[in-house]
Amino acid sequence: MATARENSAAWIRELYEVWNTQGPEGMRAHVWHPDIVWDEGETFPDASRFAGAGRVAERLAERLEVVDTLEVECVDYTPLSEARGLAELVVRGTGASSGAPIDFRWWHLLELAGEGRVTAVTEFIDRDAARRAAGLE
Amino acid sequence: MPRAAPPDSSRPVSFGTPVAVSKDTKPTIAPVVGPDDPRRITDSGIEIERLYTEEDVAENLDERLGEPGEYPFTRGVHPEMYRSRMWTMRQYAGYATATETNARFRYLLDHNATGLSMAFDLPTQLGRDSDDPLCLGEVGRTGVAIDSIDDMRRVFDGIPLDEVTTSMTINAPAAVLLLMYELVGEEQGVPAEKLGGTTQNDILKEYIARGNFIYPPGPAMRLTTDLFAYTRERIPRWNTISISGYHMREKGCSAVQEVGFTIANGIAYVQAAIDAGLKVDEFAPRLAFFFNGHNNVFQEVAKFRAARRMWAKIMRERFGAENPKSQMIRFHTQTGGVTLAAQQPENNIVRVALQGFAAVCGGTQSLHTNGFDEALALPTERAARIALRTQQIIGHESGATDTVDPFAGSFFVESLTDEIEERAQGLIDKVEELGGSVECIPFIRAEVEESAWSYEERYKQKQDVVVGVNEFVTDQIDDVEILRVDPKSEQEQLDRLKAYKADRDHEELAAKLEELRAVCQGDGNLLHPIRDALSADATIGEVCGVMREEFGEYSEA
Repeated sequence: MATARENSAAWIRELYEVWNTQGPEGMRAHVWHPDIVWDEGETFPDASRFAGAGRVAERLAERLEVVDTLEVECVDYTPLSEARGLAELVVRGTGASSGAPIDFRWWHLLELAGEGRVTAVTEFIDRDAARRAAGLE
Repeated sequence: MPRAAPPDSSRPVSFGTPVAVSKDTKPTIAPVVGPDDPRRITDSGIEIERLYTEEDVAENLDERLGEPGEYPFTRGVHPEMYRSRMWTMRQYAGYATATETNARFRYLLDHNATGLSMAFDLPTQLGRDSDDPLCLGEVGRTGVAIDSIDDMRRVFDGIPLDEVTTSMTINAPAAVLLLMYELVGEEQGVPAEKLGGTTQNDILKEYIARGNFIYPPGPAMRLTTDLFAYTRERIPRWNTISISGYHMREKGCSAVQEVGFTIANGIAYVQAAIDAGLKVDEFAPRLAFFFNGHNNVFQEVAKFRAARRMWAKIMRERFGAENPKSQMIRFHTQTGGVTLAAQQPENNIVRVALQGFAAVCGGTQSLHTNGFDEALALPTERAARIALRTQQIIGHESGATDTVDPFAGSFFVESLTDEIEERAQGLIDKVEELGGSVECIPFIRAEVEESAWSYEERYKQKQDVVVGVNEFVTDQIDDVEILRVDPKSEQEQLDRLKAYKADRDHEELAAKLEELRAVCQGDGNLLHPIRDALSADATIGEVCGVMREEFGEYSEA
């Protein structure tokens, strides 16, 4: 029998598979709530906050315009409640022109709505900051 | 538990448009791997080893080094380097009106600057007069406004042009500004053959990185090579072009890309001049280069050394240059504007010192050190003085000038020099495959943009630490004095231009502009009719306006 944590981790992994196969537009169509709020997180210098699935998709597409492929793998998910959890992601890809590798860890603090949609994402590039924000430390 | 819709494809999505991925060559930008990756990697993607030994240096080092002042010039362009002559301490300056810029130039000369470097405002850089409606609010902002020979005369009032050399950061309208300078020299009684200096005149990097272009590449390259031919005949001491990697680095390229794309552009200019009928040894000795100085001292020193060696080989082997002066890269360095931080701005003094030190150890011929406040505004007089003093400390206190090529023989620096050469050559080969720089501006632009993105991501992730910005930050805001350009100076410039335009022989002016138009339609050297028009009191906007009408304007779209 899978535990609740394993179930939710599997589901979150499916969400990021949408990212891998369809990009921000796929997330907009299938995963994000229309009123999603995307917070680039306090550990990002010059970070901003974006609201609405269209604007978030646009922002991420802007951020990734020089990237060729970018795959996101959810390697851990810590449920914090029924509607909130911390996803640890491994991001791998290549630059569009030079082919330079991209390979780093990313943390998303997620808020989820009952209808199968993500309503808020706060992103972190620092594990400790992510865990602090999640109330895990 | 909520469920997402299932994915409908198993292929990874592609975000960007791959232009020319070269998987078989070594990387030229750093990978984005996050802060926990233990490897030490430079911005050019060169992984740095724990320790360098003899084994890291390829065989035949002596051949690759040569003697200073001799082919392949790895060790410098002069046998004595700074033991016999210090580099030119050339501080880029200019703002507001000609009168204020004249005052700043005199201040710098009074404080032992040894050359002048002229910054122009955006309207001037785009060949527009200050009264052009498109220029409202931009007059005198980023540099001095030069509408006419009258402004040029005021900038150099009391500065004998045979006693200074002047570098002009001007590109699309470079010919116009050079000719104004020549005319002012004549008024001062200085013959053209005694004038020394440099026009940047590098239009390719404008399309790639800087954005201050006017005409399409064809006529722009014609203006460039016409200037080569004109100066060869009339102003032989003038450096006709400063082939610039600086701005590509400012835009976000890596050290290796800076070398690769700058040299690729250099090849395009040499080929264009040869195609225009010039002989390589007649114009190549007057080609100059312009590089950026960043904080990684070792990589920067290696970059300068690699660039010298590469250019020497290309000029000798590819273009058949025989004159050693045609084979040597003589370059100006400016410390990296993009490395300056607005936060804790006094930290920038240290950054500038490291960058300047690297440039000197790399054998620069002239140097501009940035003011520490330049992330905030144009430099104040105090900041400009500290910047100049930084050069003087490097020159007189650091020991960097005591011996030629002080890093030579270091296992680390020699290995880095070889790495940079190999990777930059890979980029040049790619540019050549795509038809040369003029033909592959979109490729170069895409490469630079990707590197800029990588810089930003690495900084966001603290893979690259910027002290005071993403680490070691404080809540305290340092209060520094900043220079504010008096908005009244724009109105003063407009009033002066109005008076200038009213007091001319309009018939003669119209005739000279028509003569320029006729040459534009043929294939004569454009500088002669431009000079005649300026002598008839034409403004920069009028001269460039005729060429705009004839050549059209370039658009990035």
